[in-house]
Amino acid sequence: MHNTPRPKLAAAAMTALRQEIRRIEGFKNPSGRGALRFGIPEIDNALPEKSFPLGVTHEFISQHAEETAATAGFLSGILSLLLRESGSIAWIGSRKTFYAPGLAAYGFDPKRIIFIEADRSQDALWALEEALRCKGLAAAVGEIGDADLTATRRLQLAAEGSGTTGLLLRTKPRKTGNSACVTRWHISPQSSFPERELPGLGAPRWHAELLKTRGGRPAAWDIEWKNGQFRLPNSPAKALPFRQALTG
Amino acid sequence: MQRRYISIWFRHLLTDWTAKQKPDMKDRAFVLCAQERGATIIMAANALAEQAGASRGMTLADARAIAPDLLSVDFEPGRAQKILSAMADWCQRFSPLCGLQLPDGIWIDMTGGAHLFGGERKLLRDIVLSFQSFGYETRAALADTPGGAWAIARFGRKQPIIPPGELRAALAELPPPALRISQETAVSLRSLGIRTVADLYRIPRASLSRRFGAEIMLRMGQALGDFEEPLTSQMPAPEYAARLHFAEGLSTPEAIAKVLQRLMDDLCAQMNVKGCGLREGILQAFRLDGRAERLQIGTGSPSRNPKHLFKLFEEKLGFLDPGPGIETFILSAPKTEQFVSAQNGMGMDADNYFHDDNLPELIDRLAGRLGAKSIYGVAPRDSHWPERALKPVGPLEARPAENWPLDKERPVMLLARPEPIDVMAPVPDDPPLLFRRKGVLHRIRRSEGPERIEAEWWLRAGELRDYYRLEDETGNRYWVFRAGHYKPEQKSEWFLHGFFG
Repeated sequence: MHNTPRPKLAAAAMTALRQEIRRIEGFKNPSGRGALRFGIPEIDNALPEKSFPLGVTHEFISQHAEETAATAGFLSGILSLLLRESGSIAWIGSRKTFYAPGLAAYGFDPKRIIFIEADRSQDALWALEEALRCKGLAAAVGEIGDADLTATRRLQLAAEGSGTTGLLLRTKPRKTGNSACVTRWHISPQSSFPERELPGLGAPRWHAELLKTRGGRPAAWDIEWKNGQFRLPNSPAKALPFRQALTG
Repeated sequence: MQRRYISIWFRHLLTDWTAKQKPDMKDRAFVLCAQERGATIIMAANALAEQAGASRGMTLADARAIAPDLLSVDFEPGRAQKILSAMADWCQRFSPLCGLQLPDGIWIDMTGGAHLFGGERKLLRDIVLSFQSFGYETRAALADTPGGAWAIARFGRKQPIIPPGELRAALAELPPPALRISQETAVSLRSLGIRTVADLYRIPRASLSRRFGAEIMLRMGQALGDFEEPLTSQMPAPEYAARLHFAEGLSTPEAIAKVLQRLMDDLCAQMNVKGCGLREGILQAFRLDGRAERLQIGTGSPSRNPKHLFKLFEEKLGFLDPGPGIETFILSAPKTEQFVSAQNGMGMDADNYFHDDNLPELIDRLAGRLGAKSIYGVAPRDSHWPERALKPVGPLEARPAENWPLDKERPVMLLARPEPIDVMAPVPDDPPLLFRRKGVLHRIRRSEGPERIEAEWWLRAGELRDYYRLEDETGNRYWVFRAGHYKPEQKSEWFLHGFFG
């Protein structure tokens, strides 16, 4: 790359090539729903196309209830950015675990959720795939414990076809092997820092690890949800390089 | 269009049925008897008993005087209606309009439909042969009126099919009881030497009605088609229905699916014309062996999209047992609704996020497999009690306008049942310093509370709860409460109720 004689042309060719690869990778964005940005350059730059891709699937791994709750908070933040314009979401799960009055604190209206209860995991996978095939939804959240490569590939294809974004909440998965999801996250709770050291709890704060991303680079940040948006905390927080070896 | 009716007569309906239940009775003379005013009266006699001289209305003692070997079985009131109802269900394969002619027959309105079954002659033959194969002595006739067909089936001596317009002549040679008149009228007609319907034709109507009352005029008018006969169909005929008939019978899943697709296109076209959509659909499949299979679907909002509706049935086609083959398929929409296109927003809340045309179909598909109860939306409810702060609403229902109360912090996950925890709280009304859950000790670093939530005593007996938000040293955030007032003499009960994001 360093010995290119005509950098401008090469850059154009590279851009075209990159776009072609993105297309093959499934970033068709056929619905033209645009991109979702965290509004934080450190995070957006680590993501493919410098944004959180829509019309694809993302997975969030959590190992215990506290992490699942943190993930639900983080996910609700994403949903609130996603639903800023319009649209509704399907939420597929096995039990009535998630509590709408609490989700509402993240700036999106749980009245826009259609809850779908599926007790058996194969029913939940099926329902999520059906929801992802539906062009009428902005996103589908699925509480899916285990999903292998084949299953996630089906979900990814369904999302690519419709432009509906899939968010897989994978709680206590027995295996986290390969998956066809475009990103994989791990969100864990972090101690909050109330402003000016007031008593009580501060804004929700998490350690967000982008474990895998197609076309981006894995990284990790401390991140807060405050005043209806994501932000990096003022106190100790900087993009920490994370397992660079996983790139690709 | 000239109306055409079939009447089927089961001469020995009850005894044939009894013989089917008790095959060893088949070759014996037997009667069905009931107790009436202290006497045992014959209500029905089988063919062998009739040959021996027994007949309906005799006492059993009189009959036994002629035929000592006569067996007697208890008469079951209402049985005839039950058998005929089942038979009428079976007859729906020919027409949705069919019903009972008590006590021993069935009518079918075949207007404009016989050609679907190979013409009137073949149809009538098939019906008679089918019922005979089920074990019933059967006669049937086809004519322009239900009354006329009734008469020909029971009293006709020549052909059972009376071509359109020829009923008057065909009835002429039958005896007056063919007109369904009462016993008394029949007796007095006979005493006057009136032997045939033709004799009645010759009497001026005015004197006929003066002499015998309105009954005979009504019955004659009904038989000849001068008066419409009120008929009650076994099933209300659905306004929208499509049917296909196959003489050979179909049994492969592919063929059945193809038939269903064709029927669905037909049904949707019918609904399209009327601007309505299906809410409830029924597929009836009539098998060669006389059994009927049935599948039902429902939709959350009216639909006339054949692909979508087909898919709803497709999920269930596996439950359809074709047996030896299915000869008739009927797809009907017993429940429809005027179609309101989502785009024009009629009748929809302006704030509804569920306008998209694709959503109703998704919901129906999901409901078809998971059950309609598993799919719902939520809306805030005016209650402080956490378990009651939200209510379910229909998945695509416009949500109420009120907003979620955001003044109080609520967890993103709420445990269905609060989980008891061990808590150390040094001072009454102070937040916990640490708690133990599942063997893990959580040291509390930050806390907020208490927020006191009173039990809604008018709904449930229960104690108030003092809620605290807690954050442990690793950043996990919990919602815990102490049940009831702090009592110094008693250990407080603490519960974990949720997790914050």
